[in-house]
Amino acid sequence: MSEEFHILLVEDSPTDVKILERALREAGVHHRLTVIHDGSHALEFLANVRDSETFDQEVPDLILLDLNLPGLDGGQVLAGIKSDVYLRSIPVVVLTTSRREDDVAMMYATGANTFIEKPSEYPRYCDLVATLELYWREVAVPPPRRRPKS
Amino acid sequence: MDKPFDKYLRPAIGTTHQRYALLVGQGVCWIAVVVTAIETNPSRHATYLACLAVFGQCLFALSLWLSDRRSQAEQARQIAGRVNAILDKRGTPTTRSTGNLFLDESLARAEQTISALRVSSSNRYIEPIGFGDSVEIDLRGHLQNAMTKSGMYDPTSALDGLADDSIVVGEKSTSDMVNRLDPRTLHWIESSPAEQLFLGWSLKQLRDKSFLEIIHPDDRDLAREQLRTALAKGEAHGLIYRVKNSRGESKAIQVNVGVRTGPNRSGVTHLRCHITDVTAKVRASRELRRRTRELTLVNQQLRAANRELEELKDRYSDLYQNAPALYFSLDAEGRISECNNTLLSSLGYRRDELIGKSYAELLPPDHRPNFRERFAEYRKEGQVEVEGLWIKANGEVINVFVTGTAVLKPDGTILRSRSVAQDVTARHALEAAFRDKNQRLGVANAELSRKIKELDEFSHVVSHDLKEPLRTLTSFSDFLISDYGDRLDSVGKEYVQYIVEASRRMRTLIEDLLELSRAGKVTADLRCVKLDKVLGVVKADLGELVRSTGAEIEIEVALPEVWGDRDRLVQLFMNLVSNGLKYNRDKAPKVSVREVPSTLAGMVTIVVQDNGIGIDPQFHSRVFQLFRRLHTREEYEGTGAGLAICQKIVQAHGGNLWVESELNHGSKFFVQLSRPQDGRES
Repeated sequence: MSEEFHILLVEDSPTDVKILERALREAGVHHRLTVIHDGSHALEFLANVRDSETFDQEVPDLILLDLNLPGLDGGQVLAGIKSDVYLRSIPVVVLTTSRREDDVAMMYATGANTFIEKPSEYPRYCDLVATLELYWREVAVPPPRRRPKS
Repeated sequence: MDKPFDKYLRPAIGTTHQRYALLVGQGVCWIAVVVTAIETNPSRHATYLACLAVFGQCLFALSLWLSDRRSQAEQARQIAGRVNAILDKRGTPTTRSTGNLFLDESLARAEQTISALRVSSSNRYIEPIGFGDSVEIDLRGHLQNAMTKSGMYDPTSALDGLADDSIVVGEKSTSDMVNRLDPRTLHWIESSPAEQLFLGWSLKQLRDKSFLEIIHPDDRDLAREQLRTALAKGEAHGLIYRVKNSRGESKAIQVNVGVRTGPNRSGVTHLRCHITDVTAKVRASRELRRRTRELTLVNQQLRAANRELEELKDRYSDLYQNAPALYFSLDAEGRISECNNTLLSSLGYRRDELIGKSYAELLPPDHRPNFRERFAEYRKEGQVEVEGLWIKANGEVINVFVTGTAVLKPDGTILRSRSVAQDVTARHALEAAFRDKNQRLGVANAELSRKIKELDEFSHVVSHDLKEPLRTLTSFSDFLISDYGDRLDSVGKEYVQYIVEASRRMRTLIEDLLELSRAGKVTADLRCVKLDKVLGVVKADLGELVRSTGAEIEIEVALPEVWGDRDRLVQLFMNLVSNGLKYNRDKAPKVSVREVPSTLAGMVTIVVQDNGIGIDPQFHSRVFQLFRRLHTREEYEGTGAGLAICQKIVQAHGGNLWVESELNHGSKFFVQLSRPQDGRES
């Protein structure tokens, strides 16, 4: 079992990716970051993880999901994740620019664990990341990594 | 020979006494002539003449005596005949008595005399019972007596006058009221039984009374006058007086008076009055007069009522004819039986053009076939309400709304209709225009809503989409500084600084835009919001700022409740209070929030007062405009959207926002919001 905090980031903007990476680094989070720029690829990836032998090692501890994705949008990705028996336990934090009430409601209804608005200033990004890690790694009891029975 | 003698000569000769005296005188004369002749020894011719004259004279005397005797017999026979007739009618007194002893006695004596006479009258000559006249007188006297008492005798006949002696016979005589009055005292002398019965007094009592006594006091003077006149004239007819009899009954009598004089016109002996009870007649005539008066009155009333009716008729006629509605009536076959003037003038027809025509004539030709069916329905229902088209005389078609009810005959069949039509063309046109306008408004509204939504969408999307590059800008500018700051010279750093600041500004602008677009969106879920709580949140949020600047926020206790969106209201007051603290150079900045009396019913007014820099009155409206700032960036930061957002929030709540302020004297921002609606819970 790895000590790394495996984060799956589904985000299409390269700059936002860079910002998050930097934030994670500066926050001193011991992490492993998987970045997927596309919604359908993300689902594919997760499906593969689910079906692989190394599920326990591969499965992310946290999914950071942006809603503004090309092709399949964030909502659909979320739905895809949360409808899968084995994948739905993975905590999903919707991290997006929009704060629209409709979006918020919809995401929670679909099963998002948390909805967070992307901070507009970098320092806050750092705080956010640190908080997320703290919460999902230390505070909350994470879901057990159990490989789905084949 | 005796007839002409009776007729002409006897009257000339006079009474019987006179006649015999004449005869005797003639006889004496002739005897004297004869004696003279014998004495003087005349010639033979003279002697013969004288003897002839004497013979003639004796014949004359004889015939006179015979005729007298005959006439007496004749009269006696006449009397006898009449008396017989009376008695025959009455029956013999011996078998039928009147009940009156005196009368019966008289009648008995009369009967004796009559039977004697009767027997005698069968003879050619009458045995003189006594001296002719006295017999007659005696007989008559008895008879009169008897007949007066019995009421059979009508003493209009003169006691002396042998001429028109009329003894009235039969029923009339029994019921007539006749009397004889003393001409001076007017006391009764004789009175018929009928009169005595009528008056209620006996003849004895009447003899002590004057005729005037029974007469009504008011009529007495008149009566006296009239009777006096009668006395003078000899008669009077139709005198009518009110009288009262012994029983106290008031009656009215009509009196015919005749004056009777004595024999040989020797002065007035009595007044003979024939009385008729005209009470009924008088009453009848009085009644008639009364009725006539009544009738006249009734007539007048009728005329007056008639006049009123006429007026009423005219009034109602006018109301009907000129009413501001089209009245008409249809008969049982659907023909127009009448219509008012308004209808005629509205449609442009003359009365004769419409009356009697079928209602269908008013409809446009293509609508006419329907009429039969509709009319049948109306006949069944008894009423109808229909909108349709009519055609005017000039061919113009108008919309009408027709209502009609049926008037039924007693047997339940339709007599006629009461119908009214209203020209609704104008209304229709108006309605059509209205609908059209409504529709256009609807379309415009929809368009507007769409545009607004689009705009909101746009601003939202744009803001969000802008945020990302903005984030990149700000973040990487920071990275640039932190990572490569040492490799930049001061100018380079300055440039980067500009970039950073600009990005920040852009971000704020975008955030404000976003806030603004959010501000207008008041949630549909309005409810009762406690301002105490709202201001509590604001105070808490500004806690840090308050501590760092040494400011004070004073919230009045027990702020009212309002109706609205809690989040938006928090935003509103946050903006206002923070503004009050921001635009403030006072050593002890203070913002107070309290309620003030509201001028509008159903509204709550809150004032956010600060001791800040104030606002020049000329800018009072400008401060609420979006992005319009009154100060430079160096003086105060901010995009100038705060108050615009507040305004939008308040407007979305249906309230009001305004400011009272003077430069350097602080500001008062007034917020007016609705009170919670009844019956709704928070």
